[in-house]
Amino acid sequence: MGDLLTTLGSGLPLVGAEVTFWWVMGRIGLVLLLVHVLLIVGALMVWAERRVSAWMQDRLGPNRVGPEGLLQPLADLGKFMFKEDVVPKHTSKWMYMLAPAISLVPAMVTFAVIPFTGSYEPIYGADGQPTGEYITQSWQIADLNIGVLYILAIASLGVYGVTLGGWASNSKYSLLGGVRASAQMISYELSLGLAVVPVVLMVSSLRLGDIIAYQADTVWLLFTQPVAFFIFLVASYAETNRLPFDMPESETELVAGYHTEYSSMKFALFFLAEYTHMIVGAALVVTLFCGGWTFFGLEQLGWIMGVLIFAAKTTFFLFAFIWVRWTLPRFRYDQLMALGWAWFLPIALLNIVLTGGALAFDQDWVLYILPVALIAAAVIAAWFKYRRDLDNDVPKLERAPQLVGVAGSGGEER
Amino acid sequence: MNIDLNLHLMLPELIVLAAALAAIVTELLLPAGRRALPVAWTCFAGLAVAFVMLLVGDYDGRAMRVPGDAAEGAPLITGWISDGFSVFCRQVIAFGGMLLVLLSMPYTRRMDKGHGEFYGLLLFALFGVMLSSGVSDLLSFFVCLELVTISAFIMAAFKRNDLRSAEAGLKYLVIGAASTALLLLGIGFIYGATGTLSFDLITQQLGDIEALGPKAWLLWIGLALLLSGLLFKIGGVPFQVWMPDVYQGAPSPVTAFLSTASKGVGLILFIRIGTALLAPAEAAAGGVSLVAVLGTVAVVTLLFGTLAAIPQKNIKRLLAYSSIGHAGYLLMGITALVKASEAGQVDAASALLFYLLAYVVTNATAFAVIVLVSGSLGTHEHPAYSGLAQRSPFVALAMCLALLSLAGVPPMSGFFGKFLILRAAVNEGMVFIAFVGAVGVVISLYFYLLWIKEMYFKAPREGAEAVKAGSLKPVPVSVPALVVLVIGIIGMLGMGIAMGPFYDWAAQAAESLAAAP
Amino acid sequence: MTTALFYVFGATALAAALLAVTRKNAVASAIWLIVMFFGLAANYVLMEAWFVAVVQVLVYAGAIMVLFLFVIMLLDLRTEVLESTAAPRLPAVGVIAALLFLVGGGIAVHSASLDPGPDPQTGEARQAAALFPDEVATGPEIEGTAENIGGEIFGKWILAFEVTSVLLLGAILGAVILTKRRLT
Repeated sequence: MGDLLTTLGSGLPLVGAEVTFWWVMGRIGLVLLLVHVLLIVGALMVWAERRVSAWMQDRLGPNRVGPEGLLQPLADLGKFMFKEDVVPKHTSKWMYMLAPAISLVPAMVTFAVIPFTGSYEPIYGADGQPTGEYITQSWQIADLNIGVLYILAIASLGVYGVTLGGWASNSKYSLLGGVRASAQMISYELSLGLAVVPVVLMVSSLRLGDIIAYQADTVWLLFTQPVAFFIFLVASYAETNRLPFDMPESETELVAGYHTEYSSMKFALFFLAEYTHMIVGAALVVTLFCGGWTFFGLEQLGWIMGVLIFAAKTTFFLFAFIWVRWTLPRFRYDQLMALGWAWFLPIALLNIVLTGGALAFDQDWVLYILPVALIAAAVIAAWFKYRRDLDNDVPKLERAPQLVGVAGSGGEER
Repeated sequence: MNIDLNLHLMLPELIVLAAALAAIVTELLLPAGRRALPVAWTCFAGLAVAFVMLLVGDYDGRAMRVPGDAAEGAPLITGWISDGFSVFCRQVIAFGGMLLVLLSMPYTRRMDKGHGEFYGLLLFALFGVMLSSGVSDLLSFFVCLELVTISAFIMAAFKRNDLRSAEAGLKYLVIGAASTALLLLGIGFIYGATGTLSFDLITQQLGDIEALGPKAWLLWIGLALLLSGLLFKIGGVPFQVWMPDVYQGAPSPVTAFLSTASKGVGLILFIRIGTALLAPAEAAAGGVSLVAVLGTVAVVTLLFGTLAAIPQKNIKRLLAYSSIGHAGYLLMGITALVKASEAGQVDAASALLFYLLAYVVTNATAFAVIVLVSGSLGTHEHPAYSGLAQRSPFVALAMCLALLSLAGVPPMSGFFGKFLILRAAVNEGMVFIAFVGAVGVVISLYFYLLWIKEMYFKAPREGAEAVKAGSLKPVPVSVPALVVLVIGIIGMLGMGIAMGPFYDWAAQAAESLAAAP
Repeated sequence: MTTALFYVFGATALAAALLAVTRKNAVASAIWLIVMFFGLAANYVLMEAWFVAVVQVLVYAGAIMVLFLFVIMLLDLRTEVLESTAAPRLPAVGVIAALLFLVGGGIAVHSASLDPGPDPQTGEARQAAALFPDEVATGPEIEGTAENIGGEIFGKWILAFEVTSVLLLGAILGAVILTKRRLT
C-alpha cells in the first residue's frame, strides 16, 4: 500500500513523498478543499450563466440577492432544498436515486489528476552549482503516469448518470433524452480521445504534468495542434451536453430530456453536474492545449501565481462555454452525428497519422506546416460542401429529422 | 525494441490483404451495376500473384521476431514461422481462394450491391487462413482463427433479407461465440499453468511435467478446451450442430468457403498445434490420453456425419453432413499425428496435407456446380438435380466426379486422401479406428451414389414444385465457372492417377514441420 | 494493506458478477457488470498494471457497457417480458461450469498445499504457493505502464496486433453490410 500511495502522490510535494499520518491527512484535506472549490465554482457558474446571458441579450439578470446578485446561488439552493422531492410512480427507485450522483461524481473525480499549480526547482550539476535549468513539479491530488487516459476513462462514465436517469424515470421524454445522450456521448468520445493522441505523441508522455512542462518549454500546443484543439473543444461541448449539442435535454422537443421527472435536490445535482463537467472540460482544454498553470514565466513568482493563472485561463474557457450557448442554435440530431462521424473522426485520424509520421521520420517542419494545411483542407472541404448544398435543389429540411439512430444513416432509409 | 520484421516472408499475405482493400475501394469508385467483375478480378489477381510468388519464391525464416529472445540456447518464442509446411498451406489456400473467387462470380453477378464487401471479407478470411499456417504462439493463433471466424459469420448472413441466410448467420454466430469462449478459457488455463503463450516454451514445460505439479491439470483442461475450439472449426462432434443449418442457409459461395478454407484453417492449426503442443503433451501425460479422446471424437464424428447424410434431400445439407464425415477422417489423421513418434508424424501430417489439397479441389468443384444449378433453377433440393446429365452432361460429370471423390472411389484424389489417413492410423496401431473409417467409406458410397443415380438415371422432372420453369434447359455455364470445373476435374483425376508428385510435395512440407525446433 | 484491499475488491467483483447473472432486470444486470469491471480494474491497480486498469474502465465500462445499455433501452426490455420469455435453464451448462470451477479451484487449493519439490535445473527447494498469501504478488517484473505495454504490443505481439486491425476492419464492414438499410 505504501508503494501505491507513493506512486499516486509522488508529484505532490505538499507534505513530502513519505507516507505519514499527516501526509494522508493533508491529502484528504486537499481533496475536501477541491471538492468544495468545484461545488462553489459550479454554483457561481449558474449565476454567471444568467448574468452573461442577460448581458448578451441586453437584460440585467439576477442582481437582487447580494452584491451584483452574487448570493443568488444560495437563494437557489434554499429553494431546491425546500421543494417537494417528487418521485414518480413506476420508476426504478434505486437507479432513479443513483443517477444524479453518478452524473456528478465522475466529473469531480476527473479533477484529481489536473495540476492546478506547481513549483520550479533548480537542477544542480555535478559540482553542486545550479545548472540554470529547472524542473517543474505540478501539484494535484494524484500524479498518475497515465493521467490522460484516466481522464478519458472517467469522463466516459459521465454518460451513465444521464442515461440511467432517463431510463429510470419511466417517461418517454426522459428515455429519449437518455438514448440520445448515450449515442451522442459515445460518438464524440471517439473524437475527444483521438484529438488528444497527437498531443500525447508530441509530448511522448501521458502524464499531465509532463504535458504542461513541454508546453512551458516550447510553445502551447494550441499553436502546434490547432486542429486537435478545435476538435477537442467542440467534442467537450458535446460531452457536456451543452448547446449547440444539448440534444439530450432539448427543452423545445423533450420538455427537459433526461431530467424531466426530477425535482428538488436531485434536479439540482444534475444541474450542478452539468456545470462541474464544464469546469473540468475547461480545465482540461487549459491543461492540454494552453499551458496549464504556466504563463510565459509568470508562474515562477510563486505557486499562488500558478493557481491564479490556471483560474484565469479556466475562467476564460468557461466564459466561452456560456458565450457559445447564447450565440449558436441547436444542431439537428443527424447533423450532430454527421459532424461527429463524418468530419471530426476522419480529420482527427488524419491529424494523428500526419503528426505521428512527422515525428517518426523526424520531419519537424511538417509539424509547422500541418496546422495550416489541415485548416486549409477543412476550409476547402467545407466550401465545397457548402457549394454542393447550394446546388442541391432539394431543401434539406424535407427529410424527417430522426429521433434515434447511429451515424445519421438510418432514418431516411426506413 | 528492435524487431526483425522480415516482411518479405509475408509478402504474399500482404498482397492478398492489399487486394482485399483494393476490392473495397474499387467498389466505391465504380458506378453501380459495373462493379461485379472488376472487384472479383482484383481479388483473383491478388490471390494469383500470391500463389505464384509462393510457388517460385524462397520463403524460409521467421518474420516479426524479436532478436535476442533466442539468446543462450533458449527457444524462439516470438515471430511468425514461414517453413515448408506453412508455404504448402498458403499455396493450397491461395489456390483454393482463386477457385472460390471464380466460383463466386456467377453468384455475385446476380447481386446488385455489396461486391466489395463480399470479396473483401472473403480475402480477409483467406488472409487469416494463410497467416494461421505460421503461428507460433497462442495469441496469434487466436487472432488468426477469429479473423476467419468473424469474416465467416458476416458472409454467412450476407443475404440478410433471406430468412435462411439470417438464421445461418445467427446460429453460426451464437455457437461460434460459445466455442470462442471455450477456446479463450482454454488459452487462459494454459497461460495460467505455464505462464507463457509460446508453443515452444509450453512444450519445454511439458518436458518437465513434474515441475508443474498439480498445475499440470490446468494445462490438460486448457488443452481440452483448446481442442473444442478447433473441433468447432472443422466440425467435430459435439461441435458439429451448426453445420447443416449454416451450410444450407449461407449463400453457396460462402458455403464453399466454409467447407474449404474455413475447414482448412481448423486443419492447419490442428496440425500445427498437434505437432507443437498435443504430441508433446501426449508424450508427457501419464494416464491422461489425448489420443483416446481424439480417437473417440473421430469415430463418433465419422459415424454421425455418414449416417445422418443418408436421408438428406438438399445438396448443401448433404455436403454439410459429408463435411462432418470428412472431419472424422481428418480427426483420425490428427489422432495418428498426436500418437506417432517423429517418423510417423511426418507420415500422418503428409497424409493430412494431401487430404487438404484433394478436399479443397473436390469441394470447390462440387460447389461450383451447386452455384450454377441454383443459379439456373433457384433451388438446392433433390429434384433440381434429376436428369442433370441429360440437360448438361459436362456439369453433371463434374458433380459426379466430385461426389465420387468425396466418397473415396479410386482413382479419384479423395480415395488416396482417405487411404493415406487410414494407413497412417493403421501404422500407429489404431486398427479399430481404421476399420470404422473403411466402414464409413462404404456407407457414404451409398448416399453419394443415390445422388449420382438421380443425376444420371432419372428424367428431368418438369413442373416439380421446387423447380422453376426451364428445368429442361441446359444449365448456363459462365467462363469462370467453366474454368473451375475443368481445373477441378483435372485436379481430382490427376491427383488420383498421378498421385506421386503431389504426395511428395505434401511430404516435403510435412518434413519441415518435424524439423522445426 | 494491499492484500486486504485485494480481497475487498475481489469480493466486490465476484459479488457484482453474481448479481449481474441473477438479476431479472437487464439494466440492473448491466449496472452490476459495470461494478464488476471496476472491481477488476481496482485489482489491476493493486498489481501496478495502471494502463490495463484504466483501459479496462475506458473500454468496458465507458464504451461497451454504454452500448449495451443503449440497446437494452431501445429494446425496452421490462422484467415481465423477460420472465415470460426467459431462456430455458440449461442444467448441462451449469454442471459443466460448476465442474470447471471445482476442478480449477481444487487444483489451486491442492497446489497450494503441495511441496513442489526441488527445481530440476538448480536442485534448490522451491517454495509452495500459499492459498491465501499474506502479500499478494505485485505482478510480473514489468510494471504495467503505457510504455511497457506499448513495447510489448509493438514488439513481441506485433503480428497479433496487426491482424487484430484487419479483424476490426472486417467487423466494421460486416456491421455496415448487415445493418445499413440500403446500400448504394
